[in-house]
Amino acid sequence: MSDGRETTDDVFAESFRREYRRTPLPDPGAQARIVAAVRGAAPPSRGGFRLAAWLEPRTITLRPVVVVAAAVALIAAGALLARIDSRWRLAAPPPPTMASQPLHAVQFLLVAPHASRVALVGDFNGWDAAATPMRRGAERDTWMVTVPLASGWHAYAFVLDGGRWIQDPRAPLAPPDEFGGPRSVVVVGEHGAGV
Amino acid sequence: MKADARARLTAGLEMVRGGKRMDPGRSGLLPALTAAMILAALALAGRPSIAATDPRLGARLDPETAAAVEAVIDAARDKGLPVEPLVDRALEGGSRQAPGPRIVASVRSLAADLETAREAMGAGSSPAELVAGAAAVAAGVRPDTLARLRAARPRESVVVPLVVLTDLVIRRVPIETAGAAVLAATRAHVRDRELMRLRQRIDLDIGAGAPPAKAAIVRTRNLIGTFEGPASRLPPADRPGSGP
Repeated sequence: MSDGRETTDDVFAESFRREYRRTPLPDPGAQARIVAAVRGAAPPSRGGFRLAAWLEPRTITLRPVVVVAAAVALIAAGALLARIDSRWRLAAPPPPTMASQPLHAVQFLLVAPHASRVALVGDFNGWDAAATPMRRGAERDTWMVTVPLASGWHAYAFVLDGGRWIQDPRAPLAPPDEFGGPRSVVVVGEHGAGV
Repeated sequence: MKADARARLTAGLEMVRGGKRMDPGRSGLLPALTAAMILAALALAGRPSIAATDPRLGARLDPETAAAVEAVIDAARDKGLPVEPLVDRALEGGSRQAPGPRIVASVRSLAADLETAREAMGAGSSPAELVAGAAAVAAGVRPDTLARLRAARPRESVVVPLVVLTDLVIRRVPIETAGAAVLAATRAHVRDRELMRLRQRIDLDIGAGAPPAKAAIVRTRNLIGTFEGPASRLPPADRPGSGP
């Protein structure tokens, strides 16, 4: 079988060579001129950056497995960058309005004789009604709590009995937001006198 | 070697004859697949994931709302605006169990007000001033009033004047009258503590039944001696950062 294929190939190759020899040159001196021109030309440059080489269209052949591996690596790199970016953001120092500034003890008072429990919510405790409960004062209708606040502008409110939000009747008002609840303002530190 | 040569020759002949077999790498399918996967990878890398969300937002808001809020915060951060007030606003909405779209809209509105305040008062304004200015803008105060206040106090904080101004507007003192009163007091070098007392007195008068505009005019005149009220007498706007 092998000898038969080689014989067929030899016959095929010989037919190619025969056809090549039978094809006449249009100009008998052409071959000599071409060889002379090639020998006289400068060799192609191999070093340095050639912009034209990057702009020329070319076909690149890739194995599918290489393409899939490259895509997976790209996805992994993207996810890694997103995670690094996330950690960087979370680890970034807080803005000057936060705890990086010296804190000032600020006392909040509310007269609410009919409330069974009162909590203080504000931008300093994430508006968490469970974070800062107020305690009754010596006078039973007064609720109070003292919290450390950074210098600056703070919005807050009181939450009565776990559900009713009210403003501080003694404090400046903040404009109502889209959530419909009242908000008061305290200015702390060098910006103002506090409550 | 012979077999390889034959294979290459056969492939070449088939191409010369117009055969349909082609190198898979030169077909249109593989470049399209590659482009699609690259786009998918870029999309995945750029998509705000839960892991990229501020943990406070992730704990209080649903994932979609947290991601939308995070996008607003990222945009604000890129503009150099303070972002902690935006986080606080979102947390407040979550604590009040507001719907997600309303929370996002509120955060976006606050970001716009912060930007307006900064444009009016200058990039050198402190975060507290910007937050107080944004509150004033949200209450209806015009940005040029913020610029005038900054010009009246180029080197001191304007947080308290802004807080007093916002409070008066919310208590229904006409915006121009409230602006003129606070600006006149500020230009008269009234201190912050006195401004706060002025606010308290006007509030008491309004609570006792006085018309808000009259309460503001009378109390301001009593404090600085010359104030008559109308906003038409406001001095021309000074440029932020210039002297009073």
